[in-house]
Amino acid sequence: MIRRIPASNWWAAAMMGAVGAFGAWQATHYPFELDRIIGPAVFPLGLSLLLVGTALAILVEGVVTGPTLDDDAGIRPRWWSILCICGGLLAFMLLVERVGLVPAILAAVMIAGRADHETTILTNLITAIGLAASCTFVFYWFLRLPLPPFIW
Amino acid sequence: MDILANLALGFSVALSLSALSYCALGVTLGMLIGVLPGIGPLATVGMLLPLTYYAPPNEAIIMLAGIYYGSMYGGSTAAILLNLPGTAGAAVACLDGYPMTQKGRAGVALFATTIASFFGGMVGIFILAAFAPVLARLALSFGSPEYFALMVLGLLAAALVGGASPARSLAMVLLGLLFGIVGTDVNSGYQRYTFGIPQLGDGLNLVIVTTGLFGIAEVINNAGRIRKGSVKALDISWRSMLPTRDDWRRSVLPAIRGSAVGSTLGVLPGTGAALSAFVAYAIERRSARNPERFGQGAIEGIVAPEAANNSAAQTAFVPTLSLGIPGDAIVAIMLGALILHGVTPGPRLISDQPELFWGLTVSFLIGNLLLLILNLPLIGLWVRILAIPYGILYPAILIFICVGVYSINNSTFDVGVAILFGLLGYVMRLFRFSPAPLLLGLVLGPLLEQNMRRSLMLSRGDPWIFFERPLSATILALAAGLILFMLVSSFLRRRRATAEG
Repeated sequence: MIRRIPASNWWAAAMMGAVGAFGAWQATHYPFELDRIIGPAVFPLGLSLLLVGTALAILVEGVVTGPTLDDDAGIRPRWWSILCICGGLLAFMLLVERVGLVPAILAAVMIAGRADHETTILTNLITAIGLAASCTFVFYWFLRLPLPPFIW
Repeated sequence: MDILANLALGFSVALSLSALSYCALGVTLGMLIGVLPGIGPLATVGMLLPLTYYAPPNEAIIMLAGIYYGSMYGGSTAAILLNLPGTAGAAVACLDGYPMTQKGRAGVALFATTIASFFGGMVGIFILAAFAPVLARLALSFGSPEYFALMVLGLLAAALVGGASPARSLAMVLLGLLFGIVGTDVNSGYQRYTFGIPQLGDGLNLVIVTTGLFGIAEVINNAGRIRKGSVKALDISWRSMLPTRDDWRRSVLPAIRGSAVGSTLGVLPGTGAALSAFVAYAIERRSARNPERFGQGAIEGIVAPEAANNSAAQTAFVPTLSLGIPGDAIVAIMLGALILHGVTPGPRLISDQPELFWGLTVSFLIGNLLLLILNLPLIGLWVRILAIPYGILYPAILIFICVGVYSINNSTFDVGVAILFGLLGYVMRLFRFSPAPLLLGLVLGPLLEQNMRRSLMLSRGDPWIFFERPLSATILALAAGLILFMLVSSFLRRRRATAEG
């Protein structure tokens, strides 16, 4: 019976179970009763325990539906895409307040753009320059957001 | 007479230059992102939320709503021409819309969807104007136990109805409710789940969570995967869009049935436009004289679901504006936007701020007319937009997300939180969780807890209060019935599957 449960259900249940257990453990640090009324611990504790219960329900669902519905071969993280997209976003985050909006956008687009193999570096560069110019115009000049194009 | 005076008030608000421009901007953006595959309305509404901080609440909500129903119109275009649904609700339009394109009837399919969408939208607006004020008057007598019960029902419905895996959706709702707790507890001043990080004291920002879960996660999932479509060969002329007399005859009843299904399901909390499109399609197929035509390019197969998802997109505002309980995730974001603007959604909204409710309702009417104008003569333009390569599009999406998130508090910490939620959203997709119910939980979390605590304060801690009041007991019984129904139906499905071997 247990062998019927698809791997994705095991993982999903483990994740939700862990989050629920952690949430419940954290909730026990807050008071259950304050001035004789219900305290800040009750609601999060209840939710966390329900989440642990739902983790079990995900396993039961796995038994019911079996591996036919879930295609376990489908769990293939797109590592390259994750690396490029998050790398680009991190570059923006680290650069925007240090060197300004334009270099932050150029770096972010050049890094994130590598997630798509078919786009050439030149196309990426043109996209980056176009985006940097239009964002500077819209956000800095027009909407007056505190995002200076260059900081030195 | 009353309704005429209210409508006049609505027109005076919605026809002001600023409201008209925000409405036009909203529906055009909605149409655009609906057409473009790989970016959904949830991500767009989230991304554009910071822009509305600078607009007055009426205009802000008019624009956000425009994006929502505009995307419903646009979603079907990509579905019909490329077999790529721009939105979840438009997935049904692929079933018969794409076969129509293959048969050289793309023009007729696009014309039929536009008219059906417009018709469905109109029916939805009528239901909204007629029923929301009545429901709001009724809801004035609701106490916190009734609100608690209604929210429980809405959240359960969102988790259990329509999704492929009820347990996973329920987990998402619970996770959303837990995320909603993060921050300072208003009753006691306790910091919960903030881990000593001062920026988390105000709680998780809805915009950051939405853009991460939907924008960034969608880009991670699609980058390098979506290619531009081969739509260049399609030439859609006015002449090719005209339906035959037989098409008209086949479309009238499905449009009416679809609108009825959509406006009914749209009103129920927790059920969204996508579900109503699927249900309307199933009904048409079942009631057809020759169901084998479906999937081969039957015009009924696109008219009914389109009418349904557009009417549902309008009636989803009934529970949102009259009770303060959102019908689906995207309306939940709009509810969040109202709260950010200092407007308290609930039964008092319509009586206290009639200009907001009626202005919004009339703006729906104007927005639908604008969409009709945007759709039919400009269809060639939308088809060309479909040809923009995703490789150029997604870096732009990411930059807008970064700037949008950064501008909320001028803080790079928020960009970091958005990245984390992007990763979380991607992991969830990988393990077949659908993150939309999480948003509903996030928005309703604080309200649910407040109403629960208020009820328990009234009863001095006795939970029996939820069952001794007839209305809240009935609603909770409905919620229990829903759980039972789902359990029994999944058991029956399993038995049938084992019987079939």
